[in-house]
Amino acid sequence: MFDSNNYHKECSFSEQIISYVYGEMSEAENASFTVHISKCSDCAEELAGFGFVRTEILNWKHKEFLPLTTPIIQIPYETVTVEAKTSIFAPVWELFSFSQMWLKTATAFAVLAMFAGITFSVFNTNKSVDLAGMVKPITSPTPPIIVDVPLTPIKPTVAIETEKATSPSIVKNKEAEKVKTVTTEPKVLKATVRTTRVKPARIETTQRVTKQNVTLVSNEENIEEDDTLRLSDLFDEVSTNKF
Amino acid sequence: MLGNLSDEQLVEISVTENPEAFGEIVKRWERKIFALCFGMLSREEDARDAVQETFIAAFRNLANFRGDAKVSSWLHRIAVNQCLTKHRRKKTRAESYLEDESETNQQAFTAPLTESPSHNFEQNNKLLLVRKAVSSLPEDLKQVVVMKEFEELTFQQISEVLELPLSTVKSRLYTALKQLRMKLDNVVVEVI
Repeated sequence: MFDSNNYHKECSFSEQIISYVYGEMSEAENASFTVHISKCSDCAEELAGFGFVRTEILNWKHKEFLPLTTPIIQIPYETVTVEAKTSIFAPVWELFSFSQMWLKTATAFAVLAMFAGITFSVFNTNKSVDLAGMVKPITSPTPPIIVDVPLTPIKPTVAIETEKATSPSIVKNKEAEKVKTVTTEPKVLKATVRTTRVKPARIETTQRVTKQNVTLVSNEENIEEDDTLRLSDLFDEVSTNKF
Repeated sequence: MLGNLSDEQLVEISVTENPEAFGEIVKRWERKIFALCFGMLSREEDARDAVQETFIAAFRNLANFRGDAKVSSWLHRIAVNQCLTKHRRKKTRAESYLEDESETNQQAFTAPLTESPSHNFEQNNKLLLVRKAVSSLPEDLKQVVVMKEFEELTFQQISEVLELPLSTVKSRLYTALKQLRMKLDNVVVEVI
């Protein structure tokens, strides 16, 4: 085991040296290491160095530590209390440690059911609160603003408004297209109802204006129909010829 | 009666029946713990404080002693922690080692007159250098050296106290002795 001088340099030899220095080797190990030291100058030199260090430390110990008296330790038994770090659930575990298996299972189920119930009720209360919050803006006391718009001048602006809501890029002045937009207005109304609950005023105005538009368009149609011949006109003509 | 009981039994009695049974544990281990603290801190006052704090901390946490390790190992671990805490505090307060040196010089003058003053001075100087060399070791190496030299624990006991493998304890001790040798050799050369 220790037959080569180079062995010490190549391999870790620390454990054997330390065990030898402090006399914690088995007899067999001790004998073989003694043989090795007689051949290995490195180990012998290291051993001598460790011996010197130990002597110095022991000298320090004998000179400075051993003369010292052991301090008198005073434990204040009255003031210092033994603190036990116990869990807050410890009494519960202790209570159930004596009970039977079926009782433990039943209790576990009961506890689970209780937790589920509590969670469900908490969830539901949260939901109702949300609903209440949603209802609030609808029942707001602000009255809807009804704008009475004159029939003829408002026509183009209404058309623009509706076009903005549907597709802002398409803004045309042709009468026929305005009529088209008027017909598509119910879709726009739906959209405004969904998104702007808080602004009933706008809904009112659009509704009112659309009605007016519709009536306006019908008036124009009437004007066109007026160009056709009517029975009353004939009577008028006859009467004028008579006179 | 308490003297016949093991450390573990004494702990149990201290927790359940009679707290003063802990006094027996103190009596058994105070010298060893004092040696450990002295070796770790290199100052008598600090060591005395550390021992006191160690036993008070142990008594306070007596109920938390699980019995996985020996009471002696548990006490040593508390003591090592106390020493490390003290050492850290000392560092943060920037207490210099000059204080120690002045104390040593004072001791040199109060040494018995039977020996020559020059011899005393040389001896004390040597002691100071050894003490400095040991305290300048890294904490993990210092613990092992102190436990071995001051407390005379076996490798097995050290490995139990520090919860380290036996081979690690030996290699640490080897490294510590090597470092100490280098430091002391340099000092000897300087002195000569």
